[in-house]
Amino acid sequence: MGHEPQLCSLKYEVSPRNDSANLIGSITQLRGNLVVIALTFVAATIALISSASAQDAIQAKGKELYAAQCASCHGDKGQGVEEFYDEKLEGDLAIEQLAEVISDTMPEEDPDQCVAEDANAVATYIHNAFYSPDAQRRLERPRLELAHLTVRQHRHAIMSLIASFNGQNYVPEERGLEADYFAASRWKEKRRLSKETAESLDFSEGVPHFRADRKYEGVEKEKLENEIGTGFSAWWNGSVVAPTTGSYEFTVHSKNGFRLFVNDLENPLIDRWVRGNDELSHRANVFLIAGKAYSLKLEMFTFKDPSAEINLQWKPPHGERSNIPERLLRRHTTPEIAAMSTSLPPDDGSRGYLRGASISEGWDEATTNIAMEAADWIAERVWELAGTRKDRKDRIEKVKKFCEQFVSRAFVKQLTEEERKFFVTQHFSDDVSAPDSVRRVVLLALKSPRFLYPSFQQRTDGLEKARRLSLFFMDSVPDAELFKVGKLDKFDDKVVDEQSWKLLYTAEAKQKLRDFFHFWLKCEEALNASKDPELYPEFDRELTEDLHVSLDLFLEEVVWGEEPDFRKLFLSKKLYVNKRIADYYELGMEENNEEEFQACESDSVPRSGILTHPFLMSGFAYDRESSPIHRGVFVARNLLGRSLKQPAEAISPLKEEFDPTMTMRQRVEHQTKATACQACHSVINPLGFSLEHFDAVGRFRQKEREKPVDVSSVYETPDGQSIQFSGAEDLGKYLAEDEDAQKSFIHRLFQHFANQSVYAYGDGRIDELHKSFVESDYNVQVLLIEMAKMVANHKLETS
Amino acid sequence: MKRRDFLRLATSAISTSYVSSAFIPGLSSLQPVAVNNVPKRLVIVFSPNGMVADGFWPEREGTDFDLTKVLTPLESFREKMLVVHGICNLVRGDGDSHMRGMSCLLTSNELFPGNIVGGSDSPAGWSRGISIDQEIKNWLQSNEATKTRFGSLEFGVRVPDEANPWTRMVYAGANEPIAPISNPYDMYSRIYGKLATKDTMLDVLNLVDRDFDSQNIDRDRRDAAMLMQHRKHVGKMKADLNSVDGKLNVPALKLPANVVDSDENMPELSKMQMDLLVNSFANDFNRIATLQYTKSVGNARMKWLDVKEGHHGLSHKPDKDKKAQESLTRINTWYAEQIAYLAKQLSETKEPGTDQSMLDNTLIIWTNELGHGNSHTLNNLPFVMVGGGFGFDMGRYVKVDRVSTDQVWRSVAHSMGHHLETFGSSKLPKSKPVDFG
Repeated sequence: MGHEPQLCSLKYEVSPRNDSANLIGSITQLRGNLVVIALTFVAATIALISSASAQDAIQAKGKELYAAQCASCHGDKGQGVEEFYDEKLEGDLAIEQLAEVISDTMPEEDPDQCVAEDANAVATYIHNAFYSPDAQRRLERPRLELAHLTVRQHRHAIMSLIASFNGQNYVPEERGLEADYFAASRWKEKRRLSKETAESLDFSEGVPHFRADRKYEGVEKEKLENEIGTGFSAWWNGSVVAPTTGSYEFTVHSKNGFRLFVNDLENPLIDRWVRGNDELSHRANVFLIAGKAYSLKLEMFTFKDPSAEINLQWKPPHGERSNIPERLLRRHTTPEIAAMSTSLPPDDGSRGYLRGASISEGWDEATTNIAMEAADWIAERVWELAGTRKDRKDRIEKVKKFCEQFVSRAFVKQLTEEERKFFVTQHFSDDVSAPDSVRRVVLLALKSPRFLYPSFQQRTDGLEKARRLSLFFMDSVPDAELFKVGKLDKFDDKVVDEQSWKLLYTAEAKQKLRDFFHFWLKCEEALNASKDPELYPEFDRELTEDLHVSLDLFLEEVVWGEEPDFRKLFLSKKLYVNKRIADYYELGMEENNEEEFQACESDSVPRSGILTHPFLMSGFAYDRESSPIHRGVFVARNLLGRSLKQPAEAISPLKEEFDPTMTMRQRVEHQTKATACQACHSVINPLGFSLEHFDAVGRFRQKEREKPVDVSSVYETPDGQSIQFSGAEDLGKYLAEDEDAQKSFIHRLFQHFANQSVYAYGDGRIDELHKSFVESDYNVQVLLIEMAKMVANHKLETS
Repeated sequence: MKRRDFLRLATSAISTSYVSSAFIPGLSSLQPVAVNNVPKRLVIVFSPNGMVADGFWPEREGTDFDLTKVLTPLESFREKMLVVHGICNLVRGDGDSHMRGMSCLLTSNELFPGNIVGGSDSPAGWSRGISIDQEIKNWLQSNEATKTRFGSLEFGVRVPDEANPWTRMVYAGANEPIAPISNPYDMYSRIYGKLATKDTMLDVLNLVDRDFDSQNIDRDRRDAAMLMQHRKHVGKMKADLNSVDGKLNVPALKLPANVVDSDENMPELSKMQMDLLVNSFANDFNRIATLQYTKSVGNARMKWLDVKEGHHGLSHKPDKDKKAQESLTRINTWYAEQIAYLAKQLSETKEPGTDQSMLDNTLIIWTNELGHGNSHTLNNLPFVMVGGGFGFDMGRYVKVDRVSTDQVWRSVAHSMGHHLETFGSSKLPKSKPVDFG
C-alpha cells in the first residue's frame, strides 16, 4: 500500500474545501455576521502540501516517530494495545488540531518529547495512515453485508404480503369520523336523525340528537315495534392513524350498550352491547404499526335509557390516556391490517443504523413465533384471502393458488416448478384441512432464509430491483402492482425512476422518513425529558407530546411542503403551536380549536428551525438548566457528523451550588478547561454555547442569573477554519450551508433507508449524491430518489 | 367463537415472548394430573326451544317407565337414566322467557336490568350470578387432587357468533358470560394446539434445513458464518422439539378435515365435538363440560331430518299442528341420539386404572331453556340424566312437584362432593336440594 494512500491523501488535502477563494465565496453566501478567520498556518499548510516531496518527507518522519514513541501503546496501525490504551485511534480532528493534542499531551509520560514539527509530522502520518474517516474506509472498506430482516422490515413485510391479497390500505385524508344517528335502536333509514362528521369521540356530555323524551321531530312516523320506537342509536365509522408502533389501549366509558371495533371489523375489540350493572369503563389493547390507518367503528344504542353518553379514549404506547386527536381520524374505513404483535429482539444499532446482523437463539425463536402468529392469522381468514368461500367447490384450488402467490411474493420471485412443489403443493392432501395446509405453507415460507434474508438469493432481475426499491422505501416486499411490473423484466432506469416516485409518496415511506428524523434528532430522549416540577410546574407529559407533534408538523412541511429544501431545517422561522404550547411559551395565536396546530412566526424570539425548537431544546437540557454540552454533542455528532470520543471518565456536571453566581456557560468553561477535555470540548462547547438563549424548557431568555446570556463562540472546523457564531441563527446558517453537515445528513439518511453504509456502494458515491442534492436545491425527495436508484441499480461484485 | 376470545383463551398456546421458549416448555403442561382418585365428571347438554307436547314424557313412573319416541335412542342406557318431570325455572325479574330460560337456567339467578329487549318483557342484561358448572369447576380446581388443566371446557354446536342473553348459559360470575367454542377445529387447538404445533414445526424445520442446503451460493466468509450460526439455532430447536414427549392417557384425536361450520354439517360437527369431549375427559384435562346446541330461539335448519323449517319457527306452532309436532319430535329425537352417542362413547372408554367405564363416573344432564315451545313456559323443563348417578337412584322416571332449578343444582353439586348451602338468587323460596336417592 506504500505510496498510493499518500496520493489519495494529497487529493483530499487540496480539495476545494481548503481553497481560500472558495471560503470567501461561502462567506458571501452566508448572510449575517459570520467571520471566518483563515488562520495563517492554513495558508502555510497549503503552501507546504503543494510540494509532494516535502509532504512525503513529513510522512516518513512521522512514521518513524510514531513507531518509536507511540506504537507501543497505540499499536502499529493505531488499533490500540490492550494493557495500555485499547481504544482505536480514529477521529475527525484536522491535522493541525491533532498536532496540537499530540504536542500538548503525548507521549503521556513526557509530553515534551513530541512537540512542534515532530508532533505535526506524527499527526500528518497517522491522519493519513489510519486516523481520518477516509483512512479508516481505505483500511476497511464497508461491504454490502448479508443481513436478516430488521424488526421493522419483518413486521412490514408480513403486513404488506397479506395486504397484497386483502386490499391496499389507502385512506383519503378527510378528517373526522362519519357519524349516523337514528331514532331507533338499530340502523333504520326511515328513522334517521342525521348523517354528519364527528371531530372527536368524546360525548361525555351527551350524544348529539338524543332526546330523553323520545320526541324526535322530522322523523317519519310509522308503526314500530316498541324496541325501535323507544330506541336511539349512533354509529361512528372511519379509521384512525397510529402515530407509533406498539400496543394501544382503548377505553370506552358509557352506560349505554356499545361495541368498539379497531382494525378488525368482524370481531369487536370491546363488546358491551348488553349492559346492566357492569363497570362503566371498559378497556382492551390492540397492537398497531405506525403510519397506517386502522378501521375504527364505535356503535352505541339506548333503549328506554334516560341518557346517551359515550366517550372513547386511547393510550398510545408510551403515551398518556387522551381523546384521539382529530388530525388522526379519517372518514373512511380500510381493509384489516395484519399487524403482528410478536416481539422481536431489537436490531443491532451499533453502527448508527439498524442492521439485521445478530443471530441469536432469541431471534430464531421470535422468527418462529411471528411466523406462527401470521400463519394463524391467515388460516383464520383463508377463504376471503383466497377469494373464495368455505362452501365453494373450487375452494381448495383457490387456496393453493393463494399459497403459490403468497410464497412467490414473500420471496419476490417467480417460483420454479420444483419450488412450487416444495413450498406449496406437497402440503396439500385429503386428510389435511385447508387451513392447516395454509399454516404449513406460511410457516415454511416465513422461516425460509429466502424470506428472512432479503438479499439471500443474489439476483439481479427486474423483481430484484422491485424488491430493493420496496425494501428501501417501505421496509417491505413489493405490493401486487410493483410485483407485476417486476415480472416484466424490462426494469430500466425509467421504470426505476417512475416506481421510486410512486413509492416515495406512500404512507410507509413517509413514516420511514419520520422515523429517520426521530432517530436523527433523538426524539425519544426529548420525549422522556422531565423537568423540575417546582421550577417548571406546567411542563408535563402532555406538553412534551404536543411539542413532539409540533416538530413533526414542521419536518413534514419542510420535506413534503411546496418547496422541499433541506436548508429550511435550520433556517425556517416557523414554529407549529397549539393552544397548550402557545400558552406555555407565551406566543400569540389566532383563536382556534385547542388541539389544532398552526404555524407561528414571532419577531421577539429568533428561530432557526429544528435547532431552536423547544422540543429539542428541552430534550437536550437538564431538569433545571440548559445543557450546552448535550446540545453541543448533538450538533457536533448528529448535525455536523463530527466524531467525538466518550470522555475518559464519567464526570458529573457542576451543580448550581458550586457557585450560584456563575452562569451555566461559565461552569462548563470552568469544568472543561483541562487540555485533555479540550480535544473534544473545543468542538462541543462553542456549538452548545451558541444555543444558550434557550433555557431548560426551550424558552427564549436574554438573561441568566441576572447576567446577559453570552452566546458568542468560535467553532473550529475539521479542516482548521475558525468560525465565529453569535447565537443560534448563525449556527443555523452555518449548518444549512456547510458541506460536511450536508454530507453527514446524506450519509445518515442513506443508512436509515438502505440499512447499509453508503460507502459499501463504492467510492465517491456520497459525492455523487451530494452533487445532485446541491443541483436540486437541497430537495430531500430528489435525494431519496437518487439514493433508491443507486441501491436498485447496484451491481453485485461477487458472483 | 370469536377469534379474539379464542386467542385470549389460547394465549398460552401462542406465546409471543421471545425470551422464553414459547411453546416448548408449555408442552409439559399437557401431561395430565396423576389420577389418584376416581374422578367425578359432569356434562350439561343444552338443546333449545322447549320440548314437544307428546312423544317425550313417559306415561308410567318408576323403574317400569315407558320409552317414548324421543327417548328411544337412549334405550340401551335405560338402567343408567333418570328422567325428571317437574323441574321449573322459577327465576323472575327482567328479560323475556327465552332470555331468562337461557341465562338463568344454570345460574338460577336473575338478570340485571339492562338494555336488551326481547318479546314483550322489560329489558335486561347478563345474569347476576355464576352458573352451576362453573361453581363446581371452581371447587374442583381449588383442590390439588381434583385440579385439571382446564377445569372445564365449553363446547358448542352452531352457536351463532353473537353475544347476548339468548346465546350464553355459562357464567363465570355476575356479568361474565363465557362463550362456548362452536368450531371443533378451534376446540382442537384449544386442547391440543401446542401438540399439533410441535409436529407441524418439526416438519417445517426439516424442510427449512433442506431449503438452506439447496442454496449453493459462494458467499463472503462472514456472511456464510452468519448463516451457519442461524442453522445451528434451527438445529437446536429441532432437538428441543424432539425431546418433548407429551405423555397422554389416550392419543390426541384426529378430526376429519375440511368440515365446514354450517347447519347441514351439524351431525358431523356434533360428533366431532363429542369425540373431543370424550377425548379430553380421557386425558383428564377437565372434569366439567357443557355442550350447547345453537342458542335459545335457535333456528337451525335440519335438512338431514327432512325438516325444512327452522327449529324456532316450528316450536311456535300449536300442538294441534300434527305436521309441526312430527317435525319437532324428529328434531328432539335427533338430540336424544346425540346424548346416546355421547353416553356410548363414554361407556366404551375405560376409566384409567380401574375396571369401570368413564360413563360410570360421569353424569350427563340434557335439558332445555323452556318446558314447552309454543307457550314459552319455564315450568317442567325436559330433564334427562344419564350415567353412574353418584348415588342417585337411576333407571327411573320420577315426577317432582314444582322444584326450582337451584334445588336440582345443589343436589348435583352434593352428589359430586361439593356441599353447597345455597345457590342462585336469594329471592327463590328457601328449599332443600331434591332427593334423587
